[in-house]
Amino acid sequence: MLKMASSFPEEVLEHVFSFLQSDGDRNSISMVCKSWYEIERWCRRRIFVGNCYAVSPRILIRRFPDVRSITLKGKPHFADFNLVPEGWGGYVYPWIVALASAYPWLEEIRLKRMVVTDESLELIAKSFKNFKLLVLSSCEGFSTDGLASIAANCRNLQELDLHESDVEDLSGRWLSHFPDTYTSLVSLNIACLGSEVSFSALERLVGRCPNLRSLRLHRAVPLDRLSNLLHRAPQLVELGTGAYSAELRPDVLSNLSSALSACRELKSLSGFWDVVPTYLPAVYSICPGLTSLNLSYAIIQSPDLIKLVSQCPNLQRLWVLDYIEDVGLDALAVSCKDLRELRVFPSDPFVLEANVSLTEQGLISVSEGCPKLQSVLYFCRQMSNEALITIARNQPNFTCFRLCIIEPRTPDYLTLEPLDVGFGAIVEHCKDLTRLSVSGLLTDRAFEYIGTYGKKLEMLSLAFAGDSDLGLHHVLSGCDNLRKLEIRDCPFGDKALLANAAKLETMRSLWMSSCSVSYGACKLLGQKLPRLNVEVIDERGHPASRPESLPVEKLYIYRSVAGPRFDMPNFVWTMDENSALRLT
Amino acid sequence: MGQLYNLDAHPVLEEVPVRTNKRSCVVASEDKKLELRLGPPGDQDQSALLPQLGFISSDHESKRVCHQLQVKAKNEETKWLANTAQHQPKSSYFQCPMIPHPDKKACSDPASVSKFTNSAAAISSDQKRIAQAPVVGWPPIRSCRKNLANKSSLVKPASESPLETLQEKSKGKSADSNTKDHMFVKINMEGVPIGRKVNLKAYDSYEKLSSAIDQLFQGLLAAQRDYSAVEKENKEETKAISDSYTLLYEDNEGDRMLVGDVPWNMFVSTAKRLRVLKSSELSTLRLSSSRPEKTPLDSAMEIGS
Repeated sequence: MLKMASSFPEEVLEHVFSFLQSDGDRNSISMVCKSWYEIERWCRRRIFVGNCYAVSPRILIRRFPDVRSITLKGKPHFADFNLVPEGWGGYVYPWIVALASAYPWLEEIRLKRMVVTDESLELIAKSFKNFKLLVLSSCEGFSTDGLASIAANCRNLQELDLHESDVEDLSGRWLSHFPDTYTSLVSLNIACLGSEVSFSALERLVGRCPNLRSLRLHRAVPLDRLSNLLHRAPQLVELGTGAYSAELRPDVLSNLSSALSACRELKSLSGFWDVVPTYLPAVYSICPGLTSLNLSYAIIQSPDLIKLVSQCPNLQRLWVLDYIEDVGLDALAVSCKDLRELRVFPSDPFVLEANVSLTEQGLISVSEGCPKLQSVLYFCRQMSNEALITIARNQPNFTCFRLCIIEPRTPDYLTLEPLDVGFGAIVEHCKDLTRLSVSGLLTDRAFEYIGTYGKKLEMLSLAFAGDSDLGLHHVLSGCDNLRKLEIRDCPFGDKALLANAAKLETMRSLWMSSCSVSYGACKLLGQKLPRLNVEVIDERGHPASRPESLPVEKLYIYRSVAGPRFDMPNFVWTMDENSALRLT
Repeated sequence: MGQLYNLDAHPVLEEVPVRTNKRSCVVASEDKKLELRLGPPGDQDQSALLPQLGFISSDHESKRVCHQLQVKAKNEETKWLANTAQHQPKSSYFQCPMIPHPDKKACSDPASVSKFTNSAAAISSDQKRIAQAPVVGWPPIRSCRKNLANKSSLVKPASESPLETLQEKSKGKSADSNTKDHMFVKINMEGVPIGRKVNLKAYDSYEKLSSAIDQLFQGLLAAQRDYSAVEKENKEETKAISDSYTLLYEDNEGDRMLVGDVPWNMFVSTAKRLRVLKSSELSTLRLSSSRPEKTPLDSAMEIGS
């Protein structure tokens, strides 16, 4: 065996390994033998870190000396809904400092839910000569000054994507920092920004970048400016409009229609803020080619929506507000047989009475009419077990099923029973389900079904559900592939957690807020399981100032090889073997 | 209860003593559930239990650790259960003061729970149109998707010009904030467990608001410092308090914002609650330190005056 390993040149193995890019495959390769581990670590170029606190930059750099692309994720998913207090953590700066000195040839940085400062952006701009791609997804902490550094210094930048980040928008001048010699832009997403940018600077930028494929503008770009931009970039594949309105002039509609119809490669449309329906027909000519349509900010009623989607036979992804109503979803089911992903967002989420006629019927229609539908996010106000069973039978191919019934603990509106059986049918029929969010009135029975049938579930979100620890126990003991579990306002406490403590080491993370986990149990978990970081988040003050048996406000448990972190604010504590001794 | 945690064929833990608090009937039936019903629905065979629990890692060390955890958990459990009576159930999302809140934990019957929801629904149907005080983070939508409702009532047929739509919008906004003559919002100060309420409409500038807040919390702060009498602090100390604290507010989108950035009237119409934080804590929140550090109350006074 030794003879075989040494006689096979490294270069050949490296070449073979280069065909395997997925992390899972790479990890498997590295476990075959020591020499393969060595060869693999020198040639791994792409790194994915699902939790920035699970590993330290030092450990990463020590193992992988030549990385070109890194993805880092910070805050837990519930941060999107303001459940993670500000200041919790997720700072990228220490990572950038370490990466800047270790990987001068780094080309790509993708960050999600991290705190990114202008200093971090400046450091990125100056440290990586071949920097090509920056994606800041749901990040915060930076301003347009940081963007100006990136624009001014990254000569080879191809992609800048600010996807839904919270940017301090000081002015639109940053865009003018792209030098006139800069021509390599391929993808730009500034949809989350607010300030006006110089339209002439934007037009010049678009005009001199022949490889531009994706342009997602922000609300401050009105429709009459859009035509000019499109004339300069007819090769666009993906377009996000700005505000879909303009001063009423006779030529706007005709200019826009001709500009859009010249974009023969256009497959994806988004934007559509402040829609004036008069201008909707401008997009009709490109509808047949569309595979993705994001109308989730568009205030348009179902007749206009039906007219639109009926002309999109190749649509694979639709994001829309519940203005589409059941009648619109019926039309969708008839016209869009290639639909893979549907998201229906609530137009009026804080009012309990329905403002639109969108019910479970819409989802039934789509599940019946769209054979390739795999991913659903659906906000509605009523549901029944019967409907869920029908949906499950119609569409056993769901991989992602997220249902949000707007009022918590809503029962089956026909029988007034819990929705246990309905969700049970979903997990039973959809054998490939990897992501599930449940809502409505649910007892421990529902979790029994989930634990029994949800064998491929990787991410589960629970809210206002369950009766007792038994529910949580079913999930933790039954869902073999569970990686991320997030729970809020459920009556789950210490018993199930302590009984399934070892399970937590096989998961990326567990979030529990407004549940019944006691401080004592948190301490116990932290002390006994050193490979977990057990973080107690409590803005009422240190839990040691209250009886140990009282529940903590929020709990975030994640596995880590980096040990406890030291950048916590004063309302977060890591439980470890010293936590019993540590002063408040 | 013992069966649930019986991993290594250790002797079954002793029977759980009967508890006397009001959850006892529910807990006992839960124990029965734990003992008998860990299999798939309908499976009463206890011998199927051990393979079901096979999830627990085969690592012997962690098995032993888990068992220790469970023994410890059992011992602490009685203490914990006795204390859960103190733990208030989360207030209903459906904010209806007229309906008494039955203790949902004592009712394991789902039908009675749903009846509660329905009767509450019937009685307060006239309240449904009013936006309820939102539960944080529910429904689970991101902030950027939250305020579409303000425009939904202004949707006009295609023939109407955008100019008229704009006029409607500004009318709608002023109508909201002019109808009431008081606007009480909660205000919490960091380190002080008791909050206060302050009427934003009673002030017309940031300066007046900040001095009012100083006075509100002086009393509580002084009491916390164990002063024998609550005395009026002299002006220097008042300023010292202002300098070392920062005023934040939570707006109608649920975001935490610094007080002082927007015109006073806009602030009053969008602020939902206030928070006073120590300025030293704020510097850990604010990470771009490119601008000189000055307390927002100072800048609030500059802007508001």
